[in-house]
Amino acid sequence: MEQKNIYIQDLTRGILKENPVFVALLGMCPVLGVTGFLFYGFGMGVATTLVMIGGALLVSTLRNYIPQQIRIPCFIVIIATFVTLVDMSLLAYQPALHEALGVFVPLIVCNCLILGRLEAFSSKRPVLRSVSDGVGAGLGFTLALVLLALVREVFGQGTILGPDPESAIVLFGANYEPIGVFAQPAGAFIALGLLLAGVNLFMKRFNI
Amino acid sequence: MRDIIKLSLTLALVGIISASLLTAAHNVTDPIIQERREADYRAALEDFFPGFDHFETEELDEGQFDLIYDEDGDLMGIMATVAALGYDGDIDYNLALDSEGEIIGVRIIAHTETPGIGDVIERDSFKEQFVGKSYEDPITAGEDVDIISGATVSTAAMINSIRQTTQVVAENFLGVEVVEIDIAEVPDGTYEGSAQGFAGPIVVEVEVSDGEIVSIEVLEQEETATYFVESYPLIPEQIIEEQSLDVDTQTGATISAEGIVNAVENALMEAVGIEVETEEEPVEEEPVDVDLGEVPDGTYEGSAEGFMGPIVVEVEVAGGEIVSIEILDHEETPEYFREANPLIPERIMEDQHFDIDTQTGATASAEGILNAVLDALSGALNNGGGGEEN
Repeated sequence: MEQKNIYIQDLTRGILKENPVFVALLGMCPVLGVTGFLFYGFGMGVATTLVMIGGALLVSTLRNYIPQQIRIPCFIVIIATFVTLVDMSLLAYQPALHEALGVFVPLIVCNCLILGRLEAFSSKRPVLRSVSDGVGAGLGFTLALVLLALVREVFGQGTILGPDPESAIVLFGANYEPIGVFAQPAGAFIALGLLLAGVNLFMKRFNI
Repeated sequence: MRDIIKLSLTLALVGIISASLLTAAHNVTDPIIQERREADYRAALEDFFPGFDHFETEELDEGQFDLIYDEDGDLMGIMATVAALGYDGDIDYNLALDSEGEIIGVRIIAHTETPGIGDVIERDSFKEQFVGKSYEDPITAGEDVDIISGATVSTAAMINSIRQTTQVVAENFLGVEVVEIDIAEVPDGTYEGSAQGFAGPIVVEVEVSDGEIVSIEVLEQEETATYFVESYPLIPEQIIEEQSLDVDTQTGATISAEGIVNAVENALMEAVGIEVETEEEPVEEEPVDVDLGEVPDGTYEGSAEGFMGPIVVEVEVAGGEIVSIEILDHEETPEYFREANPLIPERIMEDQHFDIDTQTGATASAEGILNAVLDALSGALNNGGGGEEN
């Protein structure tokens, strides 16, 4: 019972209590860069989660073989491997998403969230716990991106599920003038600030 | 020592694991990616050459050229897949030309130009300016196509590459002989030639001796001094050194550099007796000297060409003096126009004459304002003082 709980704890911790974006403020670059549309934010979150899980799996498997002195280069190579894998798969199967995310996909390599979790957690824990933690951190990151992208798309574009016109749902009718600043990077900061305030309030209220 | 070996081996091992994973993934994804690229290319072909039947591929040093045929086996046009050397690496693009060598369209395949700056090359307004041009057109920045300020290197690279590609296609596939000057055949002598630079004509004197260009001197130019130093004397030196007009004009002042090269080319063409098509240049209006004392009081409107389009001004004259100049309309780039407005109106009103210094960060706009004011005032005089009085 106790054992089982640990995995669940590892998993849920990253989603809310130690959310990489809302609490730890890690990986801000993609958070601000690609959250103009829900689809992009979600895609980025999933891509990062995949890298996170792959990295956690490999790092914790190899943790007893990787010497202390060169652990960071090894971690980076492992992360870069998974990032390239994700990059290739996106290019092959999701070309539109790949084009939209652009340079932010290769930049997952230097997302401090991933290196941070691998160094702090996966390199010292068994495989299963590491993977749980990776899934949790990835989901938490995805959750944050989705929330932020939702706010930005709704206010900045007036749509949901854009920019593909086939799937886009126009929310406020033709007379709605989108609040342009939310579509801009500066608006990402503003929206993130408001979201952080909201999340902090929420967590305080419910004592999380 | 043993430590180092162990560390290196571990790192190498991690590298090997990584490489094998990536190789495997590459083998899976690459065919799909290629297939998709192929499909995209086919769609683009269908776009540029509706109803084409098949194509034959020719590889040249410059790139890949697909000759597009219709059902009857007639040549519909050529799709070139080439690369321009941009600001940050290659800009891969397709250039579609019809069977006469006229450009049908430009399609950017991939580039690594700075997001938000160099990627203006993807704008339709930039790509569409090439449509309808052919190897017979200059396709030169400042003449029949525009570079985009702020992204000069990327856009100039595209312009140059497109010009070269139209010529390569014309020479190789359309049987057009491009006139080339053999410097060795130019008789000894001194020749003069001119071509359009950035701000006005550039006139050069070229001295040829024993079939070699020995000196190039710029006799006249109106270029912005701070930019012109980037291409002069550098460009003449390169031409003389290489004894060829095929020099790299990508300097800090690309348009001036190309002006110099074209002027030298025109001088040599004249020397060997090839007709030089001088472009119909807009006749520079002689600065009309308006005697302000003769202008009756009133408000007058005038316009003149700026850098991007006409500039319309409203000039108010009272007691033989200009008391206000207002810009009613212009199409200039705001960042640049700021350099000329309100500086130039202020200078005019301060000096109350028109022989002012227009060398600003936006000389063309500044001259546009000045000419518009002159236009307004000379209009006032020609109408017998009857302008649009308020």
